[in-house]
Amino acid sequence: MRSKLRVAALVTLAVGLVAGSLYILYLDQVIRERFAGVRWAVPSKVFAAPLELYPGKTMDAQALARELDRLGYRKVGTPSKPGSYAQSGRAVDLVSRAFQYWDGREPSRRLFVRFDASGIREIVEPGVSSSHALVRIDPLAIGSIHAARAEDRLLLRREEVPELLAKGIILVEDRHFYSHWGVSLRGIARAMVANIKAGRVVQGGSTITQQLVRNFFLTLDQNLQRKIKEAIMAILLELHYDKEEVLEAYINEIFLGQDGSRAIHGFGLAAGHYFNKPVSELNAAETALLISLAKGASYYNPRRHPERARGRRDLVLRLFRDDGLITEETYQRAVAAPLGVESDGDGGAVRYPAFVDLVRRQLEADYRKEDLQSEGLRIFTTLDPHAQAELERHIRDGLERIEAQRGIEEGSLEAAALITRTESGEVAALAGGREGRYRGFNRALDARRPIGSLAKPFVYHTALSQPERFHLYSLLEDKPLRLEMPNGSVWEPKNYDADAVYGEVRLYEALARSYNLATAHLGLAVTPKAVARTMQAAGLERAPAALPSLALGAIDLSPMEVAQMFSTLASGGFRYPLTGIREVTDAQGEPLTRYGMQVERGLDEAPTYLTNWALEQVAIFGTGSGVYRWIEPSTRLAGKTGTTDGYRDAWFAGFGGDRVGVFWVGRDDNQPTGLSGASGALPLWSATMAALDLQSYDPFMPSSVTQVQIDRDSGLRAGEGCQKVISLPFIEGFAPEREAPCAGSDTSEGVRGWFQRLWQ
Amino acid sequence: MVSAPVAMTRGVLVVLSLTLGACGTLPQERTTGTVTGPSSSAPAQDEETATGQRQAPRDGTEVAIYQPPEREQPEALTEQYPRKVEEVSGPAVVSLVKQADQAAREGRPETAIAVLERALRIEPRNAFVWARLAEVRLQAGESQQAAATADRANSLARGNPYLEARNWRTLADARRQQGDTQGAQLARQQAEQARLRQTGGD
Repeated sequence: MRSKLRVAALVTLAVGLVAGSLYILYLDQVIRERFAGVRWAVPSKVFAAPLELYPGKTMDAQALARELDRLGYRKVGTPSKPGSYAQSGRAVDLVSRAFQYWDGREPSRRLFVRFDASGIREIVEPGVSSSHALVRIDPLAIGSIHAARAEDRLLLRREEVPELLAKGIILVEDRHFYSHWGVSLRGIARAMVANIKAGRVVQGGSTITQQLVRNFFLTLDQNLQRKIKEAIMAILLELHYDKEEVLEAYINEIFLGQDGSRAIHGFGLAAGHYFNKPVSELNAAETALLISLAKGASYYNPRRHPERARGRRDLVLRLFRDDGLITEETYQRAVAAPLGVESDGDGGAVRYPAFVDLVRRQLEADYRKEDLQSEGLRIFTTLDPHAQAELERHIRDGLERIEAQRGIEEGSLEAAALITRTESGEVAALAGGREGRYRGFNRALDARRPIGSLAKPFVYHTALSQPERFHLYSLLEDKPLRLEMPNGSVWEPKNYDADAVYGEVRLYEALARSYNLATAHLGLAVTPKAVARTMQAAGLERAPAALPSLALGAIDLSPMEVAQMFSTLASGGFRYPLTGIREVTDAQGEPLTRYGMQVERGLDEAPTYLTNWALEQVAIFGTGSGVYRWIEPSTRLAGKTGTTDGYRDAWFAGFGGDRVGVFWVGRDDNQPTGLSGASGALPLWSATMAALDLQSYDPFMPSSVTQVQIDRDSGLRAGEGCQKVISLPFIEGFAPEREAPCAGSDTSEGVRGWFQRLWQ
Repeated sequence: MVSAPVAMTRGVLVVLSLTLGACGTLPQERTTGTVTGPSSSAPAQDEETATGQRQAPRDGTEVAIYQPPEREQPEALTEQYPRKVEEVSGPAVVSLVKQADQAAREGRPETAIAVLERALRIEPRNAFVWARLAEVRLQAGESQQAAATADRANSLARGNPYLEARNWRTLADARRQQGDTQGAQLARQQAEQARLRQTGGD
């Protein structure tokens, strides 16, 4: 009996040992796998276009200072650390941050940027003899692409972690980190005493290693079984990895806050999230606050519980001082400092969600969703933060003003807009709605609305492409039209002033004043099919229904689609597919995909030049003349208003030399607003473009175009005697040949001509 | 009849025309582009009409009077066309083009393309950079984009025979690579014609 029992006990023990060993081996396997391939799911990071500084750039010191502020550079007396600057009237001294670009790393530099009246004069670096020709400033992080609920982090290598942060973590969280082997009996004993005294769990007694294990695998409940498992794994972890590796993992893993659906993990991202700066620029107070959060990120949330967070921060600062990590003087300054938490931090997924949405959609054509959300890709985009800020501001202010002035219900108007760069198709700014921060319906991409008169330039382009039939001074008839459609309905367009009929009008004038009847007849003359083809050549990807009403904009398009078409006009007929991305690299900075500039011949140059000439007249005397209430009168620009039936949609699309802008204003429920393109969308377009110092439209005249002076009365070639003359571009060989009656070399006129020449 | 400011503006334009004349095109005559024609009193279609607040920028005159056209530029002036990127570009672009040239020489056309695109963001209509971009795209084997880029470069060349000859050569090679022998032949002829317009040879 006894021996049997003994055997049974031995067998049990043996089984137990084997099972225990197997369990430990299993845990060992698990922890090594988890750690060896420390493969955190890191969302892709999205960056704005970097600011390029070079002699000759038109920018003043204030503007540079403003951009540095946006990037979280600190304004100081004498800049010495990366991410700081000083500004005087005509100079900015700064220390840039090192940054890993797609084409290599740029080191931190001390730069003296000197300005003169026209812009940047020189960029001097101490120890470098000549002015820099070109330097980049680290780009603004504008968001991340992550799963619906996700952990977000910005990985740090151990050597990137400032000493105060590393030592501070150890001091506060695990004093004996460097001497224990994963668990600390002393720590546990101390915690037990504290817990027994309090009658509940008040102290964890966990080492950094244990906390890391818990963050890796386990939930936060603290039952005994989990404690044991955690302790075993902590010991195993320490057997395999050295202290620095464990500490690095901890610094990247620990949970430090929540931003909507995004969990903020690690000190790298937390520094950006709370202070809008990299971890290397944290001061003592900021470092102490982040360490405080390791204890309980929601309990000590500095945005929600500032008093509590401050108490904890000051406690941590005291520990810093008592341990000699900081001097008494630093301590005094740090406890006196406010929390300094930025209201929107790095913005993460919050800043410019509509633009990031465009980027995400474009990327999903080339990358798997999972990779975008987990591989830590670095995405360099075309966003111009200054343009984006001005766009958002002028949409917000403009709509408020329009609502107030016109007695429109407050908050009922919505808007969408894009600003692109003319000569590359890069999207510089994008607004998906009135609220820039709102991550909802992206109207710029998804709201398809009738475009009204924005279709007209493509009707006139089609006509001007047939120089044997039409030129800018052709006579069109603005007269009533009634068409029975194949489906039995009747199409009977009206002018904007429903009763108006303007009779014979010149072609350019019909476009500039946006006459519907003349345009409808012209559309029929060139055929709706040809108009549809022109729209596609301009970059419209869908084939529009070739109906007569297409000429008046009976086609639903998104602002993005309209922007593509107008940008082809703006660049003289060359089509640049609109893009939001320049480069993508992997997490280490190795280039993966370049989204190079693509160019295609879209519309013929000569008719495009003529069409744009007429679109300039829109701003000079036509429906778009309101733009010069905002924009400097010497700035040439071309544009077109659009208004749809019942004032449901107000559009303005136009361009100067460097940018194209398309704005839509209306209501989400598609109800009338009472606003025309000129009263609803044009003010927003103009205010934004004025703020961005729109460059003058300055086309090169194609060699196949010739400028001819025409007698306004006869429409024939003008000469010495003509008094009412208009100078117009014609396609070579198709200008009127005959001279006007006034052009004759009458001697009396000749004398007058002599006087005129005297004046000149 | 003619008010002094108008005449003066036109005088400026004449001077401007002469200075730009070397480029083969004339600036658009804006003062005479006045538009107060027969239907000038008609209400604008889209606008709740003229607010009258705008200071008329360019149509301040009621009537413009015929002005004799500028004469054609003599051939000899083509000598003034710039031949090198340094002559027309800022230091940032010059330094980037040098970088790109180096990358292209070292057989890294992809890098050269990226660098030239960066240069174009600084000077978007620099025809020399466009011409170089077309050449490097050809080197990278992107014949279709090389052709389109050379086309764009030509439209910005403003008659510069040095640039046009380069662009047409790029077009000729790109078309040949695409199997368009006839198009390549035409482009070569264009290149030759442009070369003949060069005064000094290059």
